[in-house]
Amino acid sequence: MTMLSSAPGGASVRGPVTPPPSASVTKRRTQGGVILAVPALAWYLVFMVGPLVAIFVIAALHWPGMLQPVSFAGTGNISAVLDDPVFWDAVQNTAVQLVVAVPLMIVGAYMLGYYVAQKPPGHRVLRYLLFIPGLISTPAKAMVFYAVLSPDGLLNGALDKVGLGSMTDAWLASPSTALGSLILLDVWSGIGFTAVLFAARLGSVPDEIGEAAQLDGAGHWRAMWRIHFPVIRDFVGVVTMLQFLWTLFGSAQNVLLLTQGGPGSSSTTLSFLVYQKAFIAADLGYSQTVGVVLFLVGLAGLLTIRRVFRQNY
Amino acid sequence: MSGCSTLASADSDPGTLVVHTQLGTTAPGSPTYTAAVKDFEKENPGLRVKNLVNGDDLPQVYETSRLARKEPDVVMVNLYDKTLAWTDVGATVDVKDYLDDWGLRDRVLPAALTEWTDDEGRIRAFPYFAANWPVAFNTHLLDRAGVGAIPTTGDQLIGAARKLRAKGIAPVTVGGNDWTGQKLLAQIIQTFLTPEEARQVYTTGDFSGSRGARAGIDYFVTLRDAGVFADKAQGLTSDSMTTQYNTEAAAIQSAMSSALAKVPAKTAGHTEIGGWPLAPGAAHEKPTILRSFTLIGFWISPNGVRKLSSVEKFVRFMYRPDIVSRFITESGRDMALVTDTVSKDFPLVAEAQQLGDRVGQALLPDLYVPPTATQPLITATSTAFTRGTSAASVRSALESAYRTA
Repeated sequence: MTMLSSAPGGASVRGPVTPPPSASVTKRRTQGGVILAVPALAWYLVFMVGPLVAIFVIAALHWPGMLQPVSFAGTGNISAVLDDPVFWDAVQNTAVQLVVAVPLMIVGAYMLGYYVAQKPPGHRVLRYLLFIPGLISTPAKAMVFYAVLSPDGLLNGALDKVGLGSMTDAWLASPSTALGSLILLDVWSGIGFTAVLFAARLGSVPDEIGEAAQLDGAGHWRAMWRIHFPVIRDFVGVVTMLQFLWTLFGSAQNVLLLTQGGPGSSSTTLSFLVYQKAFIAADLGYSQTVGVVLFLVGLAGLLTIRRVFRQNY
Repeated sequence: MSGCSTLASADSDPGTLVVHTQLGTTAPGSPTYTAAVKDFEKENPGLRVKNLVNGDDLPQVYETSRLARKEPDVVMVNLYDKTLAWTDVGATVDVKDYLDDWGLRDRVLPAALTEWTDDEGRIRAFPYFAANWPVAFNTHLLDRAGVGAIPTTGDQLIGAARKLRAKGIAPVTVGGNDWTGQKLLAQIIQTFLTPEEARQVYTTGDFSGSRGARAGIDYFVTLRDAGVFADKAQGLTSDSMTTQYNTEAAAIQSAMSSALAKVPAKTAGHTEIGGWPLAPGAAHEKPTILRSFTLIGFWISPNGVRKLSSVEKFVRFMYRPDIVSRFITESGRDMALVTDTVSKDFPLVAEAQQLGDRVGQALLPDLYVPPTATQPLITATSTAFTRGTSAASVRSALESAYRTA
């Protein structure tokens, strides 16, 4: 640090000074940093950017199966996708899934998280209970839902027992209930986990803020939405983004395990369509064209959510 | 990934024959296969068989390993869906010359050889398993409902369904949400189709353009809406189907021989085997069943050609009459090979084998449906089994499965 001191005789002299690093030293350091970053950069390019580019390349190919000859398709796959009613069914189902599941999960999880953050009696146990769906593997969750929702499953059995036999249905195989059943599974498996995340973040909000609001006469509802929510708004945005992406890209596994996209295409989502066309129908070009659509939808969704939940104070 | 590394390590070992198989877990015939492999190793010291077991995903896994040129030497899988293209794309080799050189041609049933031969005269694999796919009727439940004889016409079937329902018994149980439903639907659609017409319809997917296919779908819809199929059949699977029949909750099922082998002795004791009832004006004279000779066969991979002497020993061993008989007597399998052995412990399988000319035969569409339409057709099946779906909507659902084919 540079400092001034008075020397005898009143002359002002500079104390010991650390000379600034020379330009050549700075350059050497920068070069060293770049060299160290090269492996990570190469890894990123090969394993992150590479597959992304590959999606766009494959989308322009006619590739009817992994062992089949490949040819250039131009915009053929785009026309095939846009002309296919199944694709539009998948778009509609995905939109319904996002519009219903994500808000339901975020609002429900936030309220649940707020309740847990108030540290009610037994809140520690409650945190573990909320986390349980996150500890169950996806196939196990699907098995549970299949046992409940199959034609001879627990739900129909219970409805029969209470005299509501006329309400029984093939929940996973009925066009009107298959998608709803999948959304229910999404919400059930995601809400507790998300609530724990919110509770953790709300726990770090200073108590004084809540206490001041109570002194001013604000009830829990008002404190939850008008006091705490604005404070963690950006965090809610991050969690919403994650749930949006999980729902958009990860729905294929539940569809595959429970409905195979049926009956007809009533529960086919975009991510399942990518899987189905690539691995079952052996049409890789079509599959990756839908993959490109998914990528663009995901990107647009991310930017929108980021903008909506931007911290505004 | 671990599978690939396993393949990689086994591939270079000349003393190890790598077999990719669907037998080895719960598939009917697995215990017999496992025991047979042990016997093979005892008879051939220095030659080890390494089994890689997969279920329905076997073709996908095999194709991935083939891409890396690390494929197993022998593959045991059905001729169906993706595997239809394997000989064409060089994923497996034509076995015609091997069949002759090894003197095994006479061991194979002529119908099986025909089904395994492609348009260019190549034999895709060594045929092994076959299947009869008749209809099983629980006579005890039919009697209880007051149904005197096994229904052989659509009207009789509808009448029987009404009587069974009145007694709280499900009439025909079927996995309307999976391949069992798809096969039964295909069988009923063929009521008014000759084999040639059926081949054309299932190759092109033009269900509206064929008068016979339209009539067959109308017949299916009539049966469905008359309550012939179990409630919510569109949500049932093959497991639910066998459970309902085996526990006598349902009176009738269309079941392939491997399912018949699992019917418990008590239920089997009052089960009669027959064909699917026909409508007036049908293209068949007798109630129909499905038959297939294209279940698990022995495919040879390009890597297998490099170990041909080991592959020859293995296939010769599995083709031996005593080994073939074991699959029939121990596991109740139908074989695509010449044999006099009849199963005693699996009476329904034996009964199905002896149906002969008492039934007609519908075409199993597996060989003609384009691979890209196979799964969508199964998905469309549950739409067809949903009550209230019109015949036009069923045709539309089936045709949409072919849209990208």
